[in-house]
Amino acid sequence: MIQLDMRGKPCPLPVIEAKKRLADLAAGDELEVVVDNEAARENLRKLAAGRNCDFRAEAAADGAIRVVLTAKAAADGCAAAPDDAVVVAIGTDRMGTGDDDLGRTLLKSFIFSLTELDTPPAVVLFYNGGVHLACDGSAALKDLRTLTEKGTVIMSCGACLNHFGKTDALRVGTVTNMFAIVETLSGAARTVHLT
Amino acid sequence: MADREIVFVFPTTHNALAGEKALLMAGIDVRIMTRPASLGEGCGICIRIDENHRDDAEDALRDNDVSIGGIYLKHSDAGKTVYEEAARSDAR
Repeated sequence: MIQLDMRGKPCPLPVIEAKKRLADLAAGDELEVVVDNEAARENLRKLAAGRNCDFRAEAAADGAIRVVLTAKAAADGCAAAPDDAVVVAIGTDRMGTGDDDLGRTLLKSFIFSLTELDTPPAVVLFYNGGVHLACDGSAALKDLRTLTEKGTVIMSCGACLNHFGKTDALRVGTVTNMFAIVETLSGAARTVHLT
Repeated sequence: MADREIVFVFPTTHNALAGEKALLMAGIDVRIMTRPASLGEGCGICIRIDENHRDDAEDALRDNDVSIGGIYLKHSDAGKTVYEEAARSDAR
């Protein structure tokens, strides 16, 4: 059994590290991840669902949560490429410059295309104008929910949601802060950045 | 079924953007997608809508003089996404 102690690590770092370790699992192998918050437990559950792994969680000492992911069959997708911890950071509600209407539509098309990847990104991170994509009224919500079903963690900058008065309008993913954003970006194998 | 969607393909990007606006103005929930290579040539942007809004959507596009390159039914078959060409309302 591979073991990861991710206590004290904000989400999505436990998911990113777990995703890297999945590459080492053969069918029937187990990955144990110890976390200390419910958000991490829930995101690991989604990761398991998206990667054809069995999931179980139980209370551990000192309020920690012991999560165990079991590979059903590596060939069915539990095994991930070791460098697949891709983080997509989106800081805008449009893609490129030139025509704003075109840019907004292109970004929605971009998000749909993420759902079609064989290995979806580990994390999609929204900040500044990008947070609108995860909020009520966004035409990208359905595709973002598809991504979460495939194991992608969606996070939106809390300060940005507050700035736009959208704190209560977030409809997919969780709220995050700059510490977690920096840790997520610096811990990623690869980043795709849209600004 | 929730996963059954109608996909509109457009000859040009201008048509796609105009189509998105026309459908939103008609109160239809639209979702953008990249045109799969199997859906012929044309603009790279497609619009998806719920299947049950198809007639209203075609009316809105026609009323706004938006050219349509093709209409497809998107659904899943044994876990695989399938696109079936659908007859236009003026041909049904």
